[in-house]
Amino acid sequence: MLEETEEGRAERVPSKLGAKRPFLEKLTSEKYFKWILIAPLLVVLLAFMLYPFFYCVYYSAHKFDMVRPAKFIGFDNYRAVLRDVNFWQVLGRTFYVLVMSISGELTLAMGIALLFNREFKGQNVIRGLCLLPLLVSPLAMSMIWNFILQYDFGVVNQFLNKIGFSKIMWWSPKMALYTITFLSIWQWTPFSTFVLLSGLRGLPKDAFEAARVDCASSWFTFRKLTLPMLMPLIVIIILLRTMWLIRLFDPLYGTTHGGVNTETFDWMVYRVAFVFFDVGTGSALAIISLFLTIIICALMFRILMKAMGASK
Amino acid sequence: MKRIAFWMVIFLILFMFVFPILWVYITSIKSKADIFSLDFSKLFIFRPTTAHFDNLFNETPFFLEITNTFITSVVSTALVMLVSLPAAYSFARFNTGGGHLLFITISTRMFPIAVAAIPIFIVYKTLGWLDTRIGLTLLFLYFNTSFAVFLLFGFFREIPVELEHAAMIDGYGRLTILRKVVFPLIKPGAALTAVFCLVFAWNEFFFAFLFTRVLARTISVGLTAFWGSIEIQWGPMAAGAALAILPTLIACWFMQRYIIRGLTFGAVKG
Amino acid sequence: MRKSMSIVAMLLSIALLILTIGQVCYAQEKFGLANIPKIKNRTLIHVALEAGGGSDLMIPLVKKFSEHTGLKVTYESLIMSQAYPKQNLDLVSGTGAYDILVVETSTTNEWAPYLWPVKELAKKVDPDGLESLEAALNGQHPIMLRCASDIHGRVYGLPYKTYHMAMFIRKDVFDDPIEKANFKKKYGYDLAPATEWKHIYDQAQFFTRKKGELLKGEPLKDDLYGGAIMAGRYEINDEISARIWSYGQDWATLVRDEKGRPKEFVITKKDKEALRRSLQEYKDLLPYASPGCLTGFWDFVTAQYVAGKTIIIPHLYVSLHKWGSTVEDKIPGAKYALYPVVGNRGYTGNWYQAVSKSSKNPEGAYWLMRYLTSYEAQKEPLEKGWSGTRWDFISDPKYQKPEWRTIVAERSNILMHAWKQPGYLDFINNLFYFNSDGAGKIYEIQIILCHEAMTGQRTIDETVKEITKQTIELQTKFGTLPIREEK
Repeated sequence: MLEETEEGRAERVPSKLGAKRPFLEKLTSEKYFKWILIAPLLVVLLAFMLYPFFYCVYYSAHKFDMVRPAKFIGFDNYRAVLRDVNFWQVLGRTFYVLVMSISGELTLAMGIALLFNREFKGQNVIRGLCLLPLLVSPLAMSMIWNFILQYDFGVVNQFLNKIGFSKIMWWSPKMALYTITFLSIWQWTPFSTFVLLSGLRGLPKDAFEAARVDCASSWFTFRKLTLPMLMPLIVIIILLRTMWLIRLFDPLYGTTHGGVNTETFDWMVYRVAFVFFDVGTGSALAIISLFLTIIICALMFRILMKAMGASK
Repeated sequence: MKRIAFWMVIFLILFMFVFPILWVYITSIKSKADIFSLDFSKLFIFRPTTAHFDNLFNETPFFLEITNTFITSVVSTALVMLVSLPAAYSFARFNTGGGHLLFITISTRMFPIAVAAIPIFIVYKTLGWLDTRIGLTLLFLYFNTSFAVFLLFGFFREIPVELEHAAMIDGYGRLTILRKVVFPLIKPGAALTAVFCLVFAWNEFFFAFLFTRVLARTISVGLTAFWGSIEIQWGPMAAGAALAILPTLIACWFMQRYIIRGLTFGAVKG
Repeated sequence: MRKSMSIVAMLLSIALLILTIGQVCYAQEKFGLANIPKIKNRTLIHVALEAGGGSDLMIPLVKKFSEHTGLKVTYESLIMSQAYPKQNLDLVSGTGAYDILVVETSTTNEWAPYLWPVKELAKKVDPDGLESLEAALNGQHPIMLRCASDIHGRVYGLPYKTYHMAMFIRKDVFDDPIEKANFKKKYGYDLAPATEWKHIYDQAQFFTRKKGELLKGEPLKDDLYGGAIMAGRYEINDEISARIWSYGQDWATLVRDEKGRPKEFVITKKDKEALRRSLQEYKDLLPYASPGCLTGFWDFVTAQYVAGKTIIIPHLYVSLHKWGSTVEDKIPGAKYALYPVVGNRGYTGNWYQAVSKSSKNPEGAYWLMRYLTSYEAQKEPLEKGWSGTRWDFISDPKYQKPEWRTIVAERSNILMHAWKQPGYLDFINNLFYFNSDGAGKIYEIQIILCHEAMTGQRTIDETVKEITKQTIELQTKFGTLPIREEK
C-alpha cells in the first residue's frame, strides 16, 4: 500500500483538484497525456531519422559517388544488388550467424541468470566481473581476439600445445564463421544475462512459494512459472539482438576483415558506402536491409507473441 | 556436492568472460619484446614495465579522449533516459500509436549506420557541429534512444497495471502515480537501461570516428589509432583499453548491486 | 711501364667512381626551421598523420614547427585503412577540415582536383618562388616524385615514407654449409637468395620443417615455415602485384597515343595470363606458410620472421625493416638481409603530404609540409630506421659503413638497386595504380578477390575472370580513362 502522506491525503479530494487545476486535469487525461509523454521521442526521431531516410530513398534510385552529379537510374541499383550472388551469400551467412548467436546467447544467459539469482559469497564482485566483455571497446577487443586466437603466437594455441593437443586453426575458411559467432556470443551474453536477471529479481515470490510447498521440481517450476513470466523480456531480448546481429560488424574488424568466408551484411554495406563511396548502391542496400529487418522482426514478434499466449 | 558443482560452474563462467580481459591487463605491462614471444612461460612470468602507460599519457591525447568520452556518454545517457522513460511508459500503458509508432522507433536501428552517417554528416557540416561534443552527444542520443525505449517498454510491462488502477481509484492524480507508484518500481529496469546506454555510448566507434577529429575525439577512436602502419602498438593499446574499462566497470558494479537488491512485488499480489 | 699503367687504371677507376657517386648523390637540401620566413597567415592548421610510426615521427616535428613559427597546429592520427574514407568524406563534402592531408600514391589521381600542385603553391606563397622548392624536390628521387604525382606528372606533395617491397631472408641459414649441401643435393642447384619464383617455391618447401627436425644442425624448438605471406584480406594484392609486374605485365596495360598521352587501359591476354600465373604460384606457397596467414598481414609475417618461425619473406614492405632486423637480437646467430624481390618489381609507392585546396592557411601549410619532409627534420628519424624517401640520405655513402648496416644500409641498398634500373621510371610511369583515378576502389576488390582465390572460395580461373570484369566495371564507373579487355 502506498504510504499516506500529507500531500497524498490532500490530493485525494477529486472535486477540489478538478476545480483548482482544470488545465492540469485536462493535460493529464489519457488522451493528451500519452502524446505529451511521447513528444520528446518524436522530436528526436523526426530530427534524426527523417532526412537520412529520404536521402537514402532518393539516392537509391541514382548513380551517385559524391563527386560527380547524381544520375537517375530508377531501380537499377536494386536490380544489381538483388542479382548479385554475393549479396545473397552474405545475407544467408549473416542470418546463419544470427540464429546461432541468439540460440547460444539465450541459453547461456538463462542458465547464468538462474545461477546468479541467489545470494552467494562474493556475489557482487563476481556478477560485476561478468559484465566485462560488454565493457571493452569492441573494435580494440576484436584486434585483441585476433592476437589471442592467432595460430602461432596466440595464447590459446600455445596453451593447447603445452598440454599436448595440436594447434587449432581458428580462422580457417571452415571455422572462421563459428569463431566470429563465438566472439559475438562472448561479448553479448552478459547483456542478455543481466536483463534476464533483473527480470528474475522482479518476479513475484508467492507463486514460487506455492510451487515449493507443493514440492514441484525445479524444472517444472522453470517451465511453467519462470519462463512464461519472463516471456515479455525474452521476446524483447530476441528482437533487440536480432536487430543488432543483422548489423554484425565489430568482431570482423581486427580479425578476418570480412575475409575467410565471414563477410556479413553490414560489412558489405560499409565497404560499398565508405570504401567505394558508392552512395547509390549503399542506399539501395540500406533500404533493402530496412525492409528485411522489418519483415523478420514483425514475423518474429507475431510468432513469439503466439508462443507467449499459448504457454499461458 | 551441489556446492562444489556450483562453484565450478561459476569459476568456468568467470574464466571465460574474464580471461581475455586479463590478457589485456597483462599485456599492458609486458615489454614489447615479450608480447610476441613464442615462449609459453613468458605469458605470466615476465618483467613488468610502465613504458606503455607512459606512452599513453605523454604521446597520445588520452586524457582529452577520456574526458570527451565521459562527457558525451554521461550527458547523452541522461538525455536518453529523459526522452525514453515517458515514451516507454506511454507505449506500455496506452499503446500509443497502436504499436506502429513503437515499431518505427525500433526501426531506427534497422538502418545500417554506414549509410545513415553520410546525410547526417552533411547536415552536421552545415550546422557546424562536426568535431564538437554537443554534436556527438546528440548523435549518441539518437543512437541509443530506440534501444532504451524498447527495453524500458519491456520493464514497464512487467509492472502490474493493478497497482496504478488501485491508486487511481484511491483518487491519486496521474503525475503523483507516476512519481510514487511507477517510478520506484521502474528504478532497477531504468538503472539497467541507463548503464547499458552509457556503455554503448562509451564504446561507440563509427559516429565518433567520422564526426570527430581533435577536439571531441573519444577513447574508442583513440584505441584503434594504435593500429600503426609499421607495427601494431599492442602495449599502449592494451594500456588504453585497460583504463577505458574502469569507469564503465564501476558504473556496472553499482548497477548490478542495485538490480539485485531490487524490489519484490510479492506484497502486492498477496 | 706496367706499374704506371696499373696506377693510371686505378686512378681512372677512382675518378669514374667519384663521378658516378657524385652524379647519384644530390646535394643535401639545406632547408631547415631557420629558413622558414615569417608566416603572415595566422589561421590554425590541422594536419592528418598516419597512425603509429608516422605520428610518432611527425608529432615532435610539428611541435617544433609550432614553437618556432608561433603558428597553432593540431594533428590527428589516422590508421592506414581509415585515412582514405575519413579524408575523402571531408574532401567531397567540402568541410576544409584538413590543411595537410596524408595521401597514398594510388589515391593521387582521384584527389588531384582537391590538392595544390606543389609548384603552383610555391609560386603563390613562397617568397623565393620556385627556387627553394626545387632544392627540396631535388632531395627526392624522381621515382618518388612520380609516386606523388598524377597522370600528367604534376607533383602534389612531398613524400615522407615509402613501402617499396623487398625480400627478407635469414642470411645465416642461407650461408650455412649443412643447409647448402642438403639443398644442392635435393634440388640440384646452389642455395642462394631467389632470383626466380621457382627458387622461392623450392626454398619454401625445403625450409618447412616440424618441431624437432634440424636447422643448421640444431633441432628446432617449434615448427618452421619456409615462407611467410600475407594472404589475409588486407594487402594480399600487393604481393600479387609484385609477381604480375615481375612478368612484365600489369593489372591493366596503359596505352598511350602517338603524342605519348594516356589513351586507354587494356587488360591484355598477357596481363590475364600473368595474373593467373601469379595467383597460382602464390597459392602453391600456402602449404609452406603458416595456416595463420589467411588472416594475416604485414604484422603477422614480420613477427614470424623475428621469432625465427620463418626463413624467407618473399615480398614485404621495407618499412618493416627496422622490426625485421631485431631478429638478430632475438635469435642467436641470425643474420638479417634484404634482397630485391624476384624480378625486382616489388610493389612500390609512397605516402606523402599534400596541401588541400580548401585550406584556409595554405601559406602555413606549405611551410609545415616543407619542414616535415626536409632533410633537417627527417635526418634523425631516418638514422633510427624510418622508411623515408629522401634520396640525399639514401644515397649517402656515409651510411654504407658497417655500423649502419641493419638500421639504414640494407634498406637503402634495396631502394638504390631498384631505382637505378634502366627503364624503371618508365615502368612506374605506366603503372595502372598510378594512372587511374578509380585505382583506390579497384584496389579494394583486388584484395577481396585475391583473398577468395586463396581460401578456395573461387578457383584461380574464376578469380581472373572476376577481377577483369570488376576492374572494367569500376574503372568505367569511377575512372576517366576508358578500359577494355583483350579477349
